[in-house]
Amino acid sequence: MKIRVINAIMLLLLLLVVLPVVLSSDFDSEISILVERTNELYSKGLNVTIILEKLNYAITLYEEGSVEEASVLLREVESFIEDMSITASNVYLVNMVKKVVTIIVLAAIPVIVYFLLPRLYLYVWYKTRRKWIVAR
Amino acid sequence: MRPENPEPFTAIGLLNEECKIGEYPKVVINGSSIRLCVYTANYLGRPAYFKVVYKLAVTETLPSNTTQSPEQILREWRFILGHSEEKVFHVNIPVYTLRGETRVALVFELWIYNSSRNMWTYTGRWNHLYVNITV
Repeated sequence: MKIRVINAIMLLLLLLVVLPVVLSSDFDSEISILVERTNELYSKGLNVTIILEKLNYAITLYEEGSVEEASVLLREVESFIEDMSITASNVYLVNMVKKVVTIIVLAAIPVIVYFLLPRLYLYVWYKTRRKWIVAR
Repeated sequence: MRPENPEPFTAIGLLNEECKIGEYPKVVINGSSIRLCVYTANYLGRPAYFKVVYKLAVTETLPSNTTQSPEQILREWRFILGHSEEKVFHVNIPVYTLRGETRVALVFELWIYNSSRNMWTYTGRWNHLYVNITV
């Protein structure tokens, strides 16, 4: 009987040591998943500063012992990421179009200058000498 | 959409109580706490989950750029840094003699969470500060 009680106490003590480690590992894993999803948004050109701030706050809450509050905040962040994911494709497309147009304009400048500059020069040259008379 | 980062790196630095370089404590009372500052930076090209780990070590058990110190972890600080983000924060750390040694190294290792392997990975970046302990 005494041995059973001692075994139960030892098991309880072991759980008290192991459980925080397991919980902590789950929390790290959860944070990591959210960071990875944030990376996907970041790579598409979205501003993820707010997400990172919220995640850091969740970590602070967790380390202070407010595990429930941290979990609630992580759910909020998850929801926020899902909302941003919906608009991510549109933002990505718009940014891509802007980049392509910028590249085309920049690439076109030397070509335009090559063709238009001599014409412009000649136009100005003739304009300034329009009233000249050729004398014999 | 983001330009590729050709030389990704992370950084960790140890600063004094005023978060400046220099004037580090040289002598510490055994069993007391001291206040320092840790600087970290993320230039990996993406946000990442980091932790700074504090250990007490001797010369033979210092970490290297491939292996962490085998000593016991005494404190951890976890945070997320965005790309090109830096963080400086105060730390209060316990200092005591280690296996009778009165000259110990205060070791700060930088770890990163590897999401593909689902575990913390030592980055190979660390700082250490030797102090003499008065008993």
